[in-house]
Amino acid sequence: MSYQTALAIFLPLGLAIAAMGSAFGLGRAVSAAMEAMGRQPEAAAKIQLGMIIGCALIEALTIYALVTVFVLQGKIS
Amino acid sequence: MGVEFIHRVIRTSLVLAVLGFLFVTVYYNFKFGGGILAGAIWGCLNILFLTRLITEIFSPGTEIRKGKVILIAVVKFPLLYAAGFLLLKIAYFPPVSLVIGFSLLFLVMFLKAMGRWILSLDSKEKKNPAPTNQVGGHKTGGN
Repeated sequence: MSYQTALAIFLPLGLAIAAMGSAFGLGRAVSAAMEAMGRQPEAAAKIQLGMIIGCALIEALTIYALVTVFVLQGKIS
Repeated sequence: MGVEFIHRVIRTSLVLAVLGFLFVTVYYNFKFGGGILAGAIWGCLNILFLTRLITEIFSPGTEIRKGKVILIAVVKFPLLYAAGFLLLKIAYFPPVSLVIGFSLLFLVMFLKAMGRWILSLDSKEKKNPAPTNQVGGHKTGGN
C-alpha cells in the first residue's frame, strides 16, 4: 500500500472517528449538565459555564482533526 | 463566576489577536498575521454563538424564545461553519495560522483559569458571595 493510498483511506476514517467521538462526548456532557441543572437549578450559571467550556473544547478537537485532514489532503495527489 | 467569564475571555482573545496580527505582519508576513486574526475572530464568534445558544435553551425557569434560538442556530451551524470551511478551502491564509488564531481563545481561557486558581478568587467568592440571580449569569440585584 502506497503512502497516498493509506492517506486516502485513513483520512476520512480518522475524521469520521473524531466526529463520532465528539458527538458522543457532547451528548454525555450536555446530558450530565441537564441532570445537574435539574437537581440544582440555583447553580445553573456555574453548570452552564462548565458546559460551554466543555462543549467548546470538544468542538475544538473535531476542528483540529478537520484542519489536519485539510492539510494532509493536499499530499494525496 | 458565570457566563461573563466567557465574555471576558472573548474580549481578551480579540485584543491579543489584534496585537499578534500587528506583530506577525510587521516581523513575518501579512498572510500569517491575517490568518491568526481570522482564526481568532472565527473562534470568538463560534464560542459567542455557542454561549448564546446554551444560555437561551438551558436556562431553567425562563421561556425559550424559539425565533432567537433558530436564528442563532442558523447563523452558527451553516453560516459560521461554511465561513470556516471556505477559509480553509480558499487557502489564502496558511492553515497553521488559522489554527494558532483559533487556539488563542483556549490559551486565554487556560491562563485566566490558572490566574483565578493561583489568586484563589473562587474561594474568596464563596466566602463573600455577590448578590446575583444565578440563572444565565445575569446580575439582577445589587450593583
